[in-house]
Amino acid sequence: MVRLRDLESRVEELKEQVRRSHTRLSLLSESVLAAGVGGARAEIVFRNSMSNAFRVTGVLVVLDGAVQYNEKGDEAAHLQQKVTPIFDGAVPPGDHTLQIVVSLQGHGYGVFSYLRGYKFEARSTHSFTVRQGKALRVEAIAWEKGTATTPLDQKPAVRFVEQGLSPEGEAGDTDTDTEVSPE
Amino acid sequence: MLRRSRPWERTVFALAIALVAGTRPAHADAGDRALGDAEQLLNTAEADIAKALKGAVPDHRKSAEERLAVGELLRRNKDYESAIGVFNQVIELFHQGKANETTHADAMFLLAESYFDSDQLPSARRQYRELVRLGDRESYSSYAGRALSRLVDVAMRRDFKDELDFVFEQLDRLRASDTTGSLQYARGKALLAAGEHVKAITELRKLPAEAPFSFQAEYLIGVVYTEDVNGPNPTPPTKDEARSVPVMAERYAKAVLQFQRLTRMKPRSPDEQHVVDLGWMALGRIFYESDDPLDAAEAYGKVGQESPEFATMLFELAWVFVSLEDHVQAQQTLELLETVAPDSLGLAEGALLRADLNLRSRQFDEALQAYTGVRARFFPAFRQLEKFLAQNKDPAVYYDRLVSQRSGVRTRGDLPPVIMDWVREIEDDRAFALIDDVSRSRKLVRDSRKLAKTMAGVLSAATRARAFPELRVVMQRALGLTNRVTFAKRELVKGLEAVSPGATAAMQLRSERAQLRAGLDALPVEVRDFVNREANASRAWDKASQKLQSLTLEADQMQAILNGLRRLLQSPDDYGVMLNASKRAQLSREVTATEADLEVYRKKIQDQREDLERGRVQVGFGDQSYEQDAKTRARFNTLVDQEFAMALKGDLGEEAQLYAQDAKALLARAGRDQAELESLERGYEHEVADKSRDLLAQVETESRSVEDGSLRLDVLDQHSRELFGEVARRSFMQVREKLSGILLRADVGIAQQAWEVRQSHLDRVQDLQRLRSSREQYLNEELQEVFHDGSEQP
Repeated sequence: MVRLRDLESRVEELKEQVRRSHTRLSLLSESVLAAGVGGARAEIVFRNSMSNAFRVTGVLVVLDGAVQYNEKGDEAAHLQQKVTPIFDGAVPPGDHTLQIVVSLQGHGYGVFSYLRGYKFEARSTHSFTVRQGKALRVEAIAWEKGTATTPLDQKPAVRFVEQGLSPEGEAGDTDTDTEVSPE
Repeated sequence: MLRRSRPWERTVFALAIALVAGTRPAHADAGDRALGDAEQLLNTAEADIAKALKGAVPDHRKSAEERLAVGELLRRNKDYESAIGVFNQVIELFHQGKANETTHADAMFLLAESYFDSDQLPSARRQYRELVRLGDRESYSSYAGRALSRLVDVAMRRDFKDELDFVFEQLDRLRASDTTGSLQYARGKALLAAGEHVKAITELRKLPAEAPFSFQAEYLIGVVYTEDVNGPNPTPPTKDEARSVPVMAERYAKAVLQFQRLTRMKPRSPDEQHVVDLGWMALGRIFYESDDPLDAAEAYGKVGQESPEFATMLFELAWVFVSLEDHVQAQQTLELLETVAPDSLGLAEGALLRADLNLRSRQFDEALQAYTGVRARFFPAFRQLEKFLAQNKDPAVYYDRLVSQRSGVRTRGDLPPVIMDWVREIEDDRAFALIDDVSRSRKLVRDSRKLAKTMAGVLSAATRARAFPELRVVMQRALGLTNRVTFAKRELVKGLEAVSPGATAAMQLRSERAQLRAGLDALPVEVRDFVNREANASRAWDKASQKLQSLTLEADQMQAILNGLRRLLQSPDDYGVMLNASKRAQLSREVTATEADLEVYRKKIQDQREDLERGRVQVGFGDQSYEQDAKTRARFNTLVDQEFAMALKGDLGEEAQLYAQDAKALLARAGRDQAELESLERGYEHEVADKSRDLLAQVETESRSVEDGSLRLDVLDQHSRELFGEVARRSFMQVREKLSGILLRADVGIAQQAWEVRQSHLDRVQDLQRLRSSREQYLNEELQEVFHDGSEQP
């Protein structure tokens, strides 16, 4: 037991020595490497920018393999509002993958009532990077691409917009549009 | 000093332009406009030079107080390692004179708490002791009592008897009491730990009801009474006390009454509510131990859903229901527990308990499913562990395996996490804490090396100015101004081209200048240009990093497939697959070969990740794109100078010569401005070089200290291997026994289920036989009656 106690105190002393050096290095690195303090935060929202010709019947959002939002039916949150919050919280600093599947149905009246028989699906995957001590907002936007002559089934698409939310409010927050065609 | 044009000069110049405007050809107007534009550009650039090169640069680095808040958030999220890193930074900032005593005291206490909560007790002890030593200073005094209480906890958990001597010594040195009651509480707790029960109660009773530690004190008194019952000389309860509690719990009457008193108190904070919940838990346990499950169930039922004790309460309540033979309620409680805290049930224990309850409730299919599930889950781990034990006779291997797997180093043939968790449960806490400390130290060494290497890379690279934000900002401003002056020259040369559009002598120069146009357009001038350029460069690195991440995901998927194949190969029958021996051997070889390939891929991904991280921090101000800018600018200046020299000599025509003479002064001004800005930039570069040298020296000093620590760690690690190797081996063997026991219980369960099913069928058959015989008897009787009635017919 005495030997264990002695070993314990020597290891602890050594750990403190290494930790002190590590702390000094990490403080130096903050200015040298522009590294932040603390974790990283991501805010993910879904925006429905489809016209009245389409009705979003379901949205599935998966962040790093974990389902964050999976709503269908008339009571779904995305039907009540244009912008639906999906995730807002701490994430490990580094790269992340966001997958989204938007289910749509044609929507029309009168001579366009035939549209109701059409069903579409827009799928997309987006990778983003959040640095330590930073926050990023990623907006997944369901929109209609192409022009008035684009066939209806080729219109639904999902694009992503990233916006840095650094607490310092630095200029140059990045906006990245990634347009992905539906399958 | 830069020369600035005086107002009268500008007026005269403008008037002169206006005077000649009417007498010159149309393309001469373009020249005049160019002169005006160039002068305006120069004027604004020169005006900005003085103010742009001074002025405070906002420091984006977090203050000690902000770090404290970040650390506290991390601690509350139970991210103890990150919190420890941040609190250590605050303490280091205090040593550097960048934090005050109050912040230092807060950081020390929170650091100690983080160490305590993450079971790093020797480190926690060091911090608490340090706080207690400073306890007579105002900023630290409020933490002294709490630190002493924690030292008592450390003493009790680690059996450090001498720690209590330190606590009593410090309690004598510090004041007898404080407003929060923390010192009295600490004294009472220390007396309890020292076995001085009566004195402990007396001390704890002194705390006023409104003191912040009064709830904890009441709870501790209850603990003292409970311990007293099991001690050598228990104090019997008075008749009144015995009458006031349920009959079965009479022995614990004092403790029950004390805990009941606690539960009647009105909590003022979540912490106090937690103590009240602990009081209910204590009552539940006492009643359960006293064979009074009904009162136990009632006490447990008082613990609310928000309580941190809720999951523990559900588990204990399930056992209370089992003792009441209410299997349905027990099952429902376990189901609820699985919902609120899926990981809280011991993996195997929980599953087997539920299977047993299913069996007792005659839910045979569910029971069989649960038993076979346990078997399928733990049999592969058992086989793997058996193989590991058979292959390794050297005790040091077991120690190394514990250290490597706890450090998160992935190797082929890693044992399943469940085995490592159970080894931890069996292993002596102190031995494991030591192994953890060695692992943490190794991780710190690795991280420190990586940081030092990356910083050395940055400080030796052309982009090193980014390491000094205050210098980088002024350098960027100087460069932006240089580029604005270059744009002024571009206006001048545009004017020259406008007044001599067909000058063949300048064709080659103008063609080369045209090729530089795109490069010139991209020269950064404003802050946003610099930021956007950096963001674009970072984005390119991000894309590469994300590709690497997707490769990592693919590797993980591949690993999952291989794990599945391994399970299939271990017991193909369980998956309904027919495999002969040769096919199985061939598949096994293929899986092994793929695993080896995967390991190589992972290593490559890791190497590329490190290269990428080093590359990522070297983009920005001063990188290759800025070097290209400098070349473009220099070449452009040379071409402009050559073109104006030709124009002045008259090689480009008379009008060009006149224009060049007009522009000569502005050109000279631009040249002087550029020279002055370049000289300033050189000065800043020298400053950056000096600062980089100093920083590199600091990095090297810390690196040497880390390397020294690493060497000493190797020596201590060797001692630990000798000391704990055999202990670790025994722990692995005990886990094998535990796994074997679980599999046995599952097998017995399966057999019992089959027996119960058979028994239920038999019972059913017997019931049916009984029914048939009774019906037969009834029919016989009916028949007899008919016969009898028939025989009586006349």
